[in-house]
Amino acid sequence: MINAGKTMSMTIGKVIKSNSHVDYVCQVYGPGEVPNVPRPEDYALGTWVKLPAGSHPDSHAVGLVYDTQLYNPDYGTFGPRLSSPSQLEVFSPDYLSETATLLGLLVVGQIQPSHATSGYCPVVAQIGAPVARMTEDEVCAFHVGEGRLDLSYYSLLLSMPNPLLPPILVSVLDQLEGLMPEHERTLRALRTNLSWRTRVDLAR
Amino acid sequence: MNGTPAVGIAKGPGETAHEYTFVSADCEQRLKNGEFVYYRASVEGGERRILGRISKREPVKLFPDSFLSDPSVSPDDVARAIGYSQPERELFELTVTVLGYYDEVFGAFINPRVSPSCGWSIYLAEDDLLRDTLARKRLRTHGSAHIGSLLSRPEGAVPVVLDVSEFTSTHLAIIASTGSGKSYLAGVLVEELMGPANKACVLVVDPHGEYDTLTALSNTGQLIEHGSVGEYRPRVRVFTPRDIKVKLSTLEFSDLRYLLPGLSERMEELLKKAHDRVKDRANSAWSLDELELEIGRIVERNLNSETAQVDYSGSASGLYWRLRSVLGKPPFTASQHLDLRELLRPGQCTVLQLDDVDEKQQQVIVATLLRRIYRARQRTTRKETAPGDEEYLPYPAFGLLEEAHHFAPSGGDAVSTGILKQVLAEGRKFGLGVGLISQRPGKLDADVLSQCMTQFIMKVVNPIDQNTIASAVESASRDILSELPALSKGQVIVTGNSMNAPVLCRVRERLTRHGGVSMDAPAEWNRWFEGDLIEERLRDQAVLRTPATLGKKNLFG
Repeated sequence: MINAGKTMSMTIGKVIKSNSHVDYVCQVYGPGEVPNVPRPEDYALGTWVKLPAGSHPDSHAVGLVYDTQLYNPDYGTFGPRLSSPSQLEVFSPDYLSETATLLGLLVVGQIQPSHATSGYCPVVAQIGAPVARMTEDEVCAFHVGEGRLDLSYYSLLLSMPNPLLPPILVSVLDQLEGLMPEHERTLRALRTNLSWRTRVDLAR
Repeated sequence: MNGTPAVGIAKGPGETAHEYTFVSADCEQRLKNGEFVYYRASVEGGERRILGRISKREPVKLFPDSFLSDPSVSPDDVARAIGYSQPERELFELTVTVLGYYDEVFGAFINPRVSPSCGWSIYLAEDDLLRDTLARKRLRTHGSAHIGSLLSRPEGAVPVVLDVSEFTSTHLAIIASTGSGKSYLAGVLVEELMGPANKACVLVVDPHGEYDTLTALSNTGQLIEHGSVGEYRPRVRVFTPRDIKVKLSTLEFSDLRYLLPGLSERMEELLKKAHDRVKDRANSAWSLDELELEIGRIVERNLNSETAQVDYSGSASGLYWRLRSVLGKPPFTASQHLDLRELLRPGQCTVLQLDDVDEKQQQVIVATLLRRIYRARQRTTRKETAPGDEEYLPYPAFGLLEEAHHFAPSGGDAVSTGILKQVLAEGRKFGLGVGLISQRPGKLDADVLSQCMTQFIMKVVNPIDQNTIASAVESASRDILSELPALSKGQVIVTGNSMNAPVLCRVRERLTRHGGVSMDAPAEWNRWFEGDLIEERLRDQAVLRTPATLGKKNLFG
């Protein structure tokens, strides 16, 4: 689930809309839009991403991929077609590119040149803002505030009504355990408790 | 209005009329059970500080248990990791038992019956406030006894000072299990009684011979006073079992019957008649010979009488033997007994060591002595005696009885119980007070315990003993008694007439050496194998070789 092991930053798509201040929709770049088309592994669930937010060029909102959707406007159109797909390629290429992969991003903080803030991002990102996958170093920097482990978004994630979020959070904790061995014991304590809550308690 | 910062905010009334609750984070952990707090309220036109004692502490907000799952990870770290970094991590609801405001006129706490409203500030009572209100006496004033300091405050911050006139007239009890420091506390009390503030007349009944270290009192600088009329220096006299004499004529018939168990009805009748006759004589100092002579006369008279239907001759011989075997040896004598004027004197502490005396004899010694002191005080107060009389005792006296359950056992028939009850009930009128020390309150007569109006209660674990204390000690509330099993050595609950409110006290250090320490058996055993002791044993065990045992052959051969 987690896109671990990647160290290179990479733009994977752009913001196309938002459902709330913390819930954005990102459209993944398709063929022809960028030189390196992102692979599905680059935007897997639980991937950390950043998107420009605020007037400072180095100010970014930090988000987590919590959902994906495949968009296909052609689906449900069962009537007869005047052109075959091979003709469409020649006469209406735009029509074919309307299929898209959409990502649900939950914004859980902000990184600025001087510091990182975990919890929420006060400024909104703009439509069309590029969404880039964060490097491991950036992920680590985001999770350290004043020299201490900082997962202030933890309660926000657990309070969202999405059943996928707890297992995503467990995976995030797993990923962080590998990235931040100095905080391993605290992360493991959190992970164990969360696993118990989401797996054992819910099975009662 | 108040320079002291508040420690909490009142929530509302508690379960009972004299309780209220307040909420506090208590980050500095100052609000312990037994700690004193107050709120301010308007009473009869003036603002008063209404003092109360914390009796219950319950958490209302704590870290979830799951934060405590890994002993190597602090719950603070877990909380901080998920974004909670406030110093306030716990919240408590504290129940306070209201004592009231201190009324200078009455010299007591008055409960205004005004509970604090929700939102009122609660303050931690200042040391000065507690010093001025909890104790009836100020430190080192006449009639004061400084036994230690308040347990919830730093040592010495709030001294616990007792009113000596109260416990020497309305009696005291020290109750504690073995090894919790009751003899130590008794030693502190004696030191205070013998100090210049009191110059008391104290008698210590010491069944284990552990109070002889009190002899150091005379040379303890803090207890010596250089006054305008000369130097005061406490005097200590120790009476060993050999020094203790009981005059036969001070024995009541009940004492005789107690000392001679298993008498037949006929023997008892014969003894009663003979005892009545020797007692009725003008010269009351009868001897055992006289008692036996009287028994012989009664037997003879009955034999010669035509009307008498009872023949005592068979019982008499058995009675003679029993009387001789019990009363014919020390401490019983015909003419001598402890002189009250020697025994009791202001500024003197007398220790009666009874460690080699049989338990029944101990009870008889204490009973006869208490009877004599009580009677002397009674007669002196009523002006029936004059200086020079044996029963003239013109000053109050205070007796401290170790192992009090031997002298007034519950459900028992100890001969000393009766006089003890009498002293406890009426001693106040005649200036005779007693202090009872016991490690088994459950074995102590309940009436006796309930008549001691000042109680020192130390660690007690036995539930029977705890129940006895709870039922006998009126002044101590249940919440303070719930502390009993948790008390450590040298910590004591002081409650009753000598203080304005029950307090948890840390006993001060003694000025004299403590004598009641347990023997270090492993050290003694190890000592057995040390070189000098081995040599000493070999010397003692060696056969004495005199020339006679060596023989001529060896001498000349």
